Amino acid sequence: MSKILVELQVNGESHELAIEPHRTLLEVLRENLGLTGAKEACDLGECGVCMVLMGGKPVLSCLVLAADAQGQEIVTIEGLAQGGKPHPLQQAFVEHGAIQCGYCTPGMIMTAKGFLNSHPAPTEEDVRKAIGNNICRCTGYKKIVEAIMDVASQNAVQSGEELAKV
Amino acid sequence: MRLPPFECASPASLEEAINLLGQAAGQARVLAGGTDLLPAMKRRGIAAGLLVNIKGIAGLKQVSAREDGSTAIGAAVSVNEVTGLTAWPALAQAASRVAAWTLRHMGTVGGNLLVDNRCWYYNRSGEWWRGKEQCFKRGGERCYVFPSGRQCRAAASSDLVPALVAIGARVEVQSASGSRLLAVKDLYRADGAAPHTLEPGEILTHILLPPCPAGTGSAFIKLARRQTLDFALVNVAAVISLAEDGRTCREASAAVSGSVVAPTPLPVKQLEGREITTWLLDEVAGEAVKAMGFVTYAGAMDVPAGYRRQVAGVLLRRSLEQAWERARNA
Repeated sequence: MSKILVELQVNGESHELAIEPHRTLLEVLRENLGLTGAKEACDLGECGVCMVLMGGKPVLSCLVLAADAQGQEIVTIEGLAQGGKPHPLQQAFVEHGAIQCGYCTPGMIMTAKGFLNSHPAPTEEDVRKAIGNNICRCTGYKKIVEAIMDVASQNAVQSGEELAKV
Repeated sequence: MRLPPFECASPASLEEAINLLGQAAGQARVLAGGTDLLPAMKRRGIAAGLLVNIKGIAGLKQVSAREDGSTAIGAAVSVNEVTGLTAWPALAQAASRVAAWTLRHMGTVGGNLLVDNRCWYYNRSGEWWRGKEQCFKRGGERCYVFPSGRQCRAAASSDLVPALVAIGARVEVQSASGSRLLAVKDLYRADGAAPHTLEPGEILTHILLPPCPAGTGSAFIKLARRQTLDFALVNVAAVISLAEDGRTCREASAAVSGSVVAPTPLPVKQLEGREITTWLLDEVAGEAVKAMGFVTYAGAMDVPAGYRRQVAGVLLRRSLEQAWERARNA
């Protein structure tokens, strides 16, 4: 099978790669780019541990062909922290103890990030439904939902302050 | 599980996509969201030498109004976009129950209409199937769910289809020889191994919704074990149009999927011309559900057929009542 040239934008960096057309974005992230934050588990789109952002939306990278991700901005868990400072969602997951073994955490955080991008003021039920594609087998979902709701309410306060400034 | 090797083409126009499919002589598959096709290929349930990616075709990603008053939904429009179409509440309700939010913006409407039938055995991995006698859907000669059966009874599992059938939607299909229109229900046949009537070389391009007439209400109910990311045990949709007096039923329709091999219209025409009452709905729903025909539990074998048939009746009764309420307030 002949390889094709693909240019991927991952975490703000451009990568040019020669890959086979049947390789998934997840495989290329983990094996070609060494970004092992997105995990490979069910590989069938059921567990959510491979979630990354593509064009600002969370996608299951095990079900996206790498060639199909060309021209889209991809963000993985490695790209969230800025200047050594954890992203507010990462901070909230730590503070709420929403992590145990940590395996589902990158996927949970990327789903939450994508969800809050388009739903800045969700209800708890909205959050529970949004992470319905992400499976956690340790903590249960209570602390995870609390951490996401915490960030959502911080966002609400911030946007309120910004509005007050204007 | 990894994908087997294949070639991939990303045509920019529908003509180019149709040419590619025609040249591949049945060895190609259309790739849109990939949320159903790629897992099936990973499980080695479906094989294809060429995937024709239609996500780059601009005309298939739009929702537009047609001159005849219908709404044309492009096949590559995401399922999440349909949750925002308010003309037919049953369709928006159905769309909001497809898989999970994350999968809904990957998955497309066309893909949901052509989602493969589900079965506890068929959907197992290629590893599990290695060395075993293959089932009908895998090209073999036996059924593990209904061992005496002579055909595949995998379950029709699309959530959108019952809503579309009840609404009376049509689909537009294109191939090298031109385009054709067919009623949504005619896309399906009662054979789980080959559940769709599309010919090789044909692409489903648009779903056409009729305008919602005055005094019309519609509703959809899905029964599944989880609120998200679960295939239906039973899906029921119903549409009721009232006459000008606001009491007499002018038109009624309903359909079911999840526990049937092909999505099936349910006969609720007995409501037409009569004044709707709750007990009339009871009577009609009880009768109509008998038309489900063969009830399959291949999708989830721990939920028996008797329960499924009973619950289909209950859901039909409830969706009729919800549609009726909406019709009165329309």
